[in-house]
Amino acid sequence: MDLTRPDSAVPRGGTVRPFIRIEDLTVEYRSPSNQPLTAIDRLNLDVAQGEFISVVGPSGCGKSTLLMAVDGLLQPVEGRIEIDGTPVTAPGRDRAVVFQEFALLPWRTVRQNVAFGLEGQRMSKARREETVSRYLRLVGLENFAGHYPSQLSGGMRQRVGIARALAVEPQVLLMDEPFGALDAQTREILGEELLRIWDAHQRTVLFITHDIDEAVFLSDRVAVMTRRPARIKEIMAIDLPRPRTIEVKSSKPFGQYRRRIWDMLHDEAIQASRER
Amino acid sequence: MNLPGATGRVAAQAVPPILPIAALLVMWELAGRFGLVNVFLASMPSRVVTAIVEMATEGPLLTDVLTTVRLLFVAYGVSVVLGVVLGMLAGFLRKFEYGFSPLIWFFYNAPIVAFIPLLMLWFGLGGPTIFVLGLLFGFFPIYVNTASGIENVDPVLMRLGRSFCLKRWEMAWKIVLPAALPIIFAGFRLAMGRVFVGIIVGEIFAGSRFGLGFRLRNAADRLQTDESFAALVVIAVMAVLIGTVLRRLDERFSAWRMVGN
Amino acid sequence: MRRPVDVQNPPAVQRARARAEGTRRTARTRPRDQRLTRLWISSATVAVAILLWEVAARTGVMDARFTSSPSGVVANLPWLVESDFRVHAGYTLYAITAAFGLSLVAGAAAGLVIGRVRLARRLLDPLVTIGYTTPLTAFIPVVVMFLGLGITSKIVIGLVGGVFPVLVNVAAGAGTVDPPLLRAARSFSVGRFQTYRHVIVPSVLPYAVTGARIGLGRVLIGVIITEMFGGSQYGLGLLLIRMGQSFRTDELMLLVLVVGIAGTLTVGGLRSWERRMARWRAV
Repeated sequence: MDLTRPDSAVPRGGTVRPFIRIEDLTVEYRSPSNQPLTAIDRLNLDVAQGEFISVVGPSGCGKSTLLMAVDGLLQPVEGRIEIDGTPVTAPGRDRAVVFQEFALLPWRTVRQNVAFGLEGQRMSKARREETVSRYLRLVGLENFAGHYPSQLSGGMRQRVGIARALAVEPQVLLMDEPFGALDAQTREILGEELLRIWDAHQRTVLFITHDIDEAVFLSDRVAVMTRRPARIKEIMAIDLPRPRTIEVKSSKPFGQYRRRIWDMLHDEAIQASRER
Repeated sequence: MNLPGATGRVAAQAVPPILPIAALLVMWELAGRFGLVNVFLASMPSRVVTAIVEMATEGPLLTDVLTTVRLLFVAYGVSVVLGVVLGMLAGFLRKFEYGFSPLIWFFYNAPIVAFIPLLMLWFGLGGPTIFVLGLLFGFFPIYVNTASGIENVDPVLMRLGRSFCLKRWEMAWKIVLPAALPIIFAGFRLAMGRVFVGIIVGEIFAGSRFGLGFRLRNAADRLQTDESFAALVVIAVMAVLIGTVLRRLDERFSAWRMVGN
Repeated sequence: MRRPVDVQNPPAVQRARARAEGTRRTARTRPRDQRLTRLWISSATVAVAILLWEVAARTGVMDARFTSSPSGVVANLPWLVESDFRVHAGYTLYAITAAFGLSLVAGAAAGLVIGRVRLARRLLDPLVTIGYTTPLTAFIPVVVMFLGLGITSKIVIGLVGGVFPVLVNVAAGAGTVDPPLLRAARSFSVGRFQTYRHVIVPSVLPYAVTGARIGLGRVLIGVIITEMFGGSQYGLGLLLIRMGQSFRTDELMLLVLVVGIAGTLTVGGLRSWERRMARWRAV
């Protein structure tokens, strides 16, 4: 069975043609001694429109690299990436990133940060303000619009990051371990928040994480990456009903999914640590 | 090491910081009055104060201060403009930075005072030499900080910019420059003190007629101890004033500054 | 194993578009290539500058009597050996070494005390501020009046120049020794001396190196400037002034370059050491 195809998924309102198609993607780095390092080797992955898919893998295996390639920041040595039929060669308005380190501009207010992605677009000031306000409300920060990032907690800062990414209304939301810099409780709360937010518009989400619970809780499917040179080891469909709440984390199916993925990752992690 | 806990803290608070200086001044005065030292050689605080007052009311002290301050601002201004312009050039265009860097490295680390005889040969005594010296002292910190600030912007923010399809000039204007500003301002503050040193040095060696440094040199050459100390005190006061203003600016600025992500 | 070429978007077009939009082919720039480019351009610029200088001097664009020329400088290299340059250089070096050594010792000792004893800090803070921010040169006329024109004045000025940066930096370092480290030492019943040796001193070391670097620069300046002051019998500073006054531009330029390069190398060397220290610094 070709697990890269989303047949096994339950995409929400998905079309038959994969929305994101990653084919034989190969990405190389140059090490400091100028040796080429293959970070990703012939990786294949298809994502349906409106799907929430997580990618988990051992540390340093290239999850972020994959995301950067999809964002168009990296040129593959081989293979290609297509979004809605269009090849990816550079960053574009159809994709937006949420960063692990938040990447907020410290000298701008929350409102100005959210407006950041909209400034390049031709839109009236009024419309821009309205969009910003709308997304601030969506993430629950309308009362903090005039604050500066340094005045906010980590969780709030990431909400600004999410609002900023959503404000440009991308086709694909790329999330690079967005909750990695937060404490466990904030992570759980934001996870629930994220589902609520996502529910409102159902964009396609590519979510990178090392937290298995998070991946299972949030996604329609979970793809497990191998260690470097990376490819997809296996994809698991998460057949839990939506909308999901925190309680689902203690359900039996959840535990089973978690166990399966943990076993897969465990293998890869041990091999990876042996090689280093 | 520390006096045990509370005692140490209380003692520290109770003693006003002015104490050591006051004590030294008192000892100096007494030494003079009781003839322990040759007053003509070592002077006394009271005589120094008298000298300052004399120089201020009848003498050229005011003109001296104004001359020095004027040179200070001119040299500082030019340092800032040149430093920022070239620094930005170097920061944004790596090739330029590579080209400048040996020259910069040389001047930044070399003892600039070695150039004084050369400068005196070229520009003679007076304003121009002093100005150039001040410029040499002030330009490099600003240039280095500007270039460094621009080159060392948080890579995450750079990735943010590229991810949101910012064009090159947008990256510079919206991300690089604002991010570099704290470091650039630090360069401004650093340069101020250094330009002052450069001006005083210039006045001591190549000064003519007016200027605090010239006054000091002149008095020492005539073996007028009181006047020499007077000039030195005024210079020291100016130095501390400048330093304090800069430190206040620093604090005010840091409070505003975001600690970032 | 190439994929069939997409007719509408052949690789050439893709690459061209990627170049236009500024994405990079590989994820990381190559540090070694970067270093080579840097070396290349730096050397080229220096070479060109020297060439232009020579040309300008020969064609008369710059008056070589004032600005010398590369050939003039090189031609006078033997002068370094033949003249009494060595005497003066030795004198200056002696003064610098003495002043720097004293600065390190006094500065480190005082810095440790000030950094760890709150009372000392409060008492000495204003004195240190005055001593540090006042231009070094301003002290020279007064010191010379008291101590004469011999080498003592030079060493004293050098000391005043070098001690404060060392002191201030060591104090900063001593004040920030990681409290958990100190607590660990205490719980292991490590004696006070041992604590100093194994916990405090290593923590302070990077700061001390910074202080030493700044201090050395100021010692150099202090000593040379005092020698320039007039009436000194020996010293590189004096030599510089003398060459300037007797219009011997070639020798002067040579001296300036020698002193400049020596200063750059020593201070620059300390700067590199400092950077290496900074790598393990916790802060």
